[in-house]
Amino acid sequence: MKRFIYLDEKDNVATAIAKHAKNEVAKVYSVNNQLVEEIECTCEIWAYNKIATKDISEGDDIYKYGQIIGRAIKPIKKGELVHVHNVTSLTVNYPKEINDDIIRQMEIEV
Amino acid sequence: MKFNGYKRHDGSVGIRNKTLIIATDECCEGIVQNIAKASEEAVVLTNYMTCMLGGNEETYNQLVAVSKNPNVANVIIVAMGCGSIDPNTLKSDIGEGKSVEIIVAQKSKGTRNSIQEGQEILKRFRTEADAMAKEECDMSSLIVGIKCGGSDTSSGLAANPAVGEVSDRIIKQGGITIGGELFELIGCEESLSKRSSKEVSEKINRLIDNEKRRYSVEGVETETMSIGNGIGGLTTIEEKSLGALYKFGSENVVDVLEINHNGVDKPKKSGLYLSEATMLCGGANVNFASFGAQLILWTTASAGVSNPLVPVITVSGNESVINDDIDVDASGIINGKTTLNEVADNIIDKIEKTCNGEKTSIEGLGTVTLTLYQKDRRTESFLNIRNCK
Repeated sequence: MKRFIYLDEKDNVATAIAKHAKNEVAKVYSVNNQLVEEIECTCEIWAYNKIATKDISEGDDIYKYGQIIGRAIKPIKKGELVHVHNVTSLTVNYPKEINDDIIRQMEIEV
Repeated sequence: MKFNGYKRHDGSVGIRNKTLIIATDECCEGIVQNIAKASEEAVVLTNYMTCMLGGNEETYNQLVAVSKNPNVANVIIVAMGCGSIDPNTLKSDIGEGKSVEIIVAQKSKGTRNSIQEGQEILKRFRTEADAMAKEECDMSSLIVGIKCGGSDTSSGLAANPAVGEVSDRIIKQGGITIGGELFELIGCEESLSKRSSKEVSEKINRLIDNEKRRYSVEGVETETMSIGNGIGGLTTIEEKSLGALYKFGSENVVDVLEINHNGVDKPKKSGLYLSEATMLCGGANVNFASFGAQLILWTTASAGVSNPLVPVITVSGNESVINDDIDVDASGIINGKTTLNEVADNIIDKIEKTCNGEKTSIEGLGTVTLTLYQKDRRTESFLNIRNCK
């Protein structure tokens, strides 16, 4: 079933269970199977990747599991893919070449 | 939750009633394996590391601690007779309250006689164990180890949060849960510091730093993230580690249990503990046993893991790997067929059944050897490892 999972009330991202195309509607469910909201994907989002469920400003913390998993390095609009091209770790990032390779292989528009 | 368990002299409660057969020296492995053939309730623990004590005190301390585990009814110690781990000291360190017999192969006039003598003791010990009465107990008697293995993205979405919810419920009912794998908590330090006292937080950071020292060599970066992780949607090390941390629930961390040459720490009151239990499967089983755990919750996206002493309940959220190794299917959280709370209910139900004697999916089958994973003091000294006490 095509859906996104939203893990905690603090979260500003939800995780895709299947690949979603650009302009496809993301159905975001809670872990207790409640439909939280529907968001239009503004870009392609691969399975197990994250969509922004709110507008995020540069420097904002990214929350998943109700915890900080990184920080936005540019503004991220609701519906956009949240990944290595717009988020930095607070401890250690992927080495640059791996980071670039992820962006290239996933055809992320930077 | 109620279950009938074996009350031990120290107040702990066993959910199994095994006879532990220890080979203090690696050369006794053949003898202990042959003795164990006389009963399905026999569990072998061999010290593969060495027959010497100096530098290997951590291994010795674990032999003592596993013997004290509540799932152990009685203990047979087998020594060759030429090693420096004294079986009499081991017996006295195990203490009163459990029957302990010693066989020294050289004194028993060799291998065949030792096996025969051992099997006679084992039969007598099984009669003793079978006569032990069970008493009604509840969740407050439980110490549960929590571990993951063969994880993928489904783990952080389904099996880990479900087990985390179960950890919280166990603690609310007065029980104890213990996590380990400190190396896999790199990136969780800040999150953990909000859930622990300053003292405990410093301990966590120091022990994680020790793990970094053990797994890194100068000039080589510690491997934490792969390109596969990235394409699989893991953006940062925090996201990966926090997904693993999820299985420990939301309670504060009471303390970190250490295993070293000074001894093996024991949890003292209800709550969530972290520990030095290794990320290696066989080794972690022994580590959890040495903390006194009667049961292990295991989240996975691959096959099950089991051991003969501490039953393992396997939980998976990956639909494609659900087979008869898996005790609790958590994939409904992902595909929308069940909720996290329903999966947590199913895990609690399985805990109750397991505590009442029902076997877990692969209990008694395809078990891993109980592996004594050792932090050798010589290597630790070379790596400049600092213990907390």
